[in-house]
Amino acid sequence: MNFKNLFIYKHNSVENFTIKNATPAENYSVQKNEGGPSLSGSFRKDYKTLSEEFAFGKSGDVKKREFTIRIDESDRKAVIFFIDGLVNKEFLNNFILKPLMLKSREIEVSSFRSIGEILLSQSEYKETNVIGDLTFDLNFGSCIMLVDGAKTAYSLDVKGWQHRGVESPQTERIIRGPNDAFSEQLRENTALIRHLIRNKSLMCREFKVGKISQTPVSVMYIENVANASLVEETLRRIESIGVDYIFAAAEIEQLLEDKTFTTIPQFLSTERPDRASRALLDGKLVILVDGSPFVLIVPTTVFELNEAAEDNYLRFPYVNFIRTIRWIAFMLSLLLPGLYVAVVSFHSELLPTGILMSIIASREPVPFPSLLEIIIMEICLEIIREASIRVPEASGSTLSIVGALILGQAAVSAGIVSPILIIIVSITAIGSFATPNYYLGLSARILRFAYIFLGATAGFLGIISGLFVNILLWTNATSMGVPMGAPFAPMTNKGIPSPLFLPPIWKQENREDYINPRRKRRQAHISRKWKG
Amino acid sequence: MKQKSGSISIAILCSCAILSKYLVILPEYMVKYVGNAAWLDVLAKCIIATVSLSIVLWLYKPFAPDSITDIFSLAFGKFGKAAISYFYIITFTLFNALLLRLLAEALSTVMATTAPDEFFILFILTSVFAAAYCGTRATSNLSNIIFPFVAVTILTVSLALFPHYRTDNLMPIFGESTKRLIHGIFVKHFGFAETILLFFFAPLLGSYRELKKCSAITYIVITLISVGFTLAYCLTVPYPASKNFFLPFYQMTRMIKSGAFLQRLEPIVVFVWTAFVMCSMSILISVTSKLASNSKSQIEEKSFVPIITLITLFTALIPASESIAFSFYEKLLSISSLLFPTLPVITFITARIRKRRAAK
Repeated sequence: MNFKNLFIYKHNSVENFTIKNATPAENYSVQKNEGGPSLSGSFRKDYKTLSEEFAFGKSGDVKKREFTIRIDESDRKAVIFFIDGLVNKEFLNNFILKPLMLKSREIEVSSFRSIGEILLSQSEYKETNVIGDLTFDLNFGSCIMLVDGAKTAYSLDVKGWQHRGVESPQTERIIRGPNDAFSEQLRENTALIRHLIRNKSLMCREFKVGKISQTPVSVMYIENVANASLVEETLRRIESIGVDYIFAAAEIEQLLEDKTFTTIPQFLSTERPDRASRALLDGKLVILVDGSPFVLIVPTTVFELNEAAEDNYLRFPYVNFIRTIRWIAFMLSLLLPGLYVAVVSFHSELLPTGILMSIIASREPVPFPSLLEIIIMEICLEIIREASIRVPEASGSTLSIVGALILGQAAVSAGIVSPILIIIVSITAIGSFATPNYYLGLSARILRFAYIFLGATAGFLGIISGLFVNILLWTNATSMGVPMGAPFAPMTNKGIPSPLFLPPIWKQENREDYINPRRKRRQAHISRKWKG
Repeated sequence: MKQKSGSISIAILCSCAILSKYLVILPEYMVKYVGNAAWLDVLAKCIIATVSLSIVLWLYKPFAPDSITDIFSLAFGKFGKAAISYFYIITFTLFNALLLRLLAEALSTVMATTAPDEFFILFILTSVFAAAYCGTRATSNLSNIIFPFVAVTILTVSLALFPHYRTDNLMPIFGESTKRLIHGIFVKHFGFAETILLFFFAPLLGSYRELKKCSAITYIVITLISVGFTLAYCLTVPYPASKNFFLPFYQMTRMIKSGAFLQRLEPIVVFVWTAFVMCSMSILISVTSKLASNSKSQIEEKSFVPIITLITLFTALIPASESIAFSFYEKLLSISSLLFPTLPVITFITARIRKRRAAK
């Protein structure tokens, strides 16, 4: 750690990429299928090898089709391996088998080279001898073809499994703005981004993560905007992941994050292509995982976690108003129960006599101390919240009725909780629903219990001490090496705090400087030239 | 990224340390010496401190951006450096310990609980330890977030009290208190003691120009907040009767009555200020640990944080009562107010002479 740069935000030093030269863990170093055993060149031997490698006969969904191709006026044996369900059979029949079996007899095919040049009309096919590559392609919807006499095998792209199309976002709904959402298909997701950023500088780096699952992962960035060190660090971290399998962006997020033992999410996840594209244009990176409709945006800050996708589509007065409300909602969801306990237990002088008397009267029949009372209610609320996610849609209304009846009327009537507490818990719950980031909301839900205990132990001193440590941990966290408290803690060069007050769109001239993008300016100094 | 951000962060760090101490002494000073001329006193103090700092800065110029500890070594040798470092370690730790004790007593009064002072001391020190252990950068980040809240709180309280301002409270300014004020300025208050922190953080700023900028920001912030706050207090309260730590906040916030629900705001304001004081204590523990480790390695620095924290804890428990702690605090402040700026002046002059001799 260079002490000289403790306060000076310099990209290379503050990112603190301390494990730059670390080597991948033993047994997990092979992430790419480059190298490895190859085919021998003998059709009979390779046929047997691939049948064993592809588990043909053992796996019911691995199929093969034997046929002959006429090459150089002689019939050659050929075989195609594919996985049923992963390939488009119509495509396989009409554009692979038909031309190979029939067309090879109609036109003159003089060499194996002509198979790819004349017979196959695939946009994507490759010739390779590496068995690992062939296995990966087979499992990723390609069919593998072996031809007697050919020096290499053919991997032909005929992907065609059933999947969800582009639908509306489920967790980031907005009123004004596009309504596309990412799906589980990696290639569709990259295409959705490329559709929005039609620029040659948009890069898409591909990886396979998971020794067994070989899950395709893409990292997208804009080459002449994103900071090269940030790109290098992200790619290095992804390459060095040594796990057997991953299935979702949420898993890779945990494998890439800087600090594990903190409640704050260090990556921003989104299911909106427009939000991901905007992040790319701001110099950030987007990580896409095949099978996951959520993509990860790195780096992020605490302030960005409380921003919603719609913020970019609203006029600046509305955005600033809504952002303020959102911060109030977040603070309420985090602190309100703790503050209630602190006020009731230690600082009752804060309340006017009338309200204080009413609280005392409402708590009269309650046999529990305020701490226990609020803990019971909060746990009940968490149970209902968890149940509402798991419960089938048809039973949802029953759950809400039961929840409302038990938590609302029955608990008060039975004298287990006071009515004021119902109000406190309800405001807290509504506040947490207003938090746009799911992980940030979860973080508030966990920390709320800590604040309740602190409030009960030392009143406002407890709350203040908790906040002190909380802010300390959150501002000390980093996202891919970038401080999460930026642009306030540490203060970055710009000084004008856009996370809390968004200026009009024509004044948003610069990109966020805490990631040191290659292009600092986002727009011309005078972007509205018509104004003269 | 330019280095501008560093100067603001360090300015906030130093302002935190200086301002949090200032409030401790304010009621006592008003009662004992200057009364409602306190705002004039603090203004004069700021001006004198700015002038003295300018001289110290000018003397420091040839050594920029070296740390003051390196200059101690140049001026007085390794032994001298160690002696001065120990002096600062002891003084900072004593400051922290006494402040901790006074804060605990004050909070105990505000919360009106039967809990012993040790409970408050442990509670505060745990958070302070966490911040100090995370390092100077973490403490700086923390103060960057907390400082605006404190500034906004002070501003809000001052504005909300506007209907209660009475200019009569400031009069007469040419009386006994003013005489004492002038006497006090020259005898006791040469400058703010924690200004020395600027020279400990100087290497972080990288250049003399940045240090000058940082010093200017620090003094502008200190002057605005301390003079503004004291003036608001003097305008509102005719004459403070008690020397309690939180008296100014307590008295001022109790006068704000904006509807039935906002009639008692003092606990909120007091605890915002508590967070601020906690920030200042973390900074001092960080600096003390750095001085004690005599190393640029953060790991070595961290290893001293628990030791310094424990010493602070036990020292805070030594005084038998709050009044003893306060009188000791006052004496310490008087000595350090004179010694803290004087010591760098002597150091820089000696180092300059030595440098010149070495060049010859």
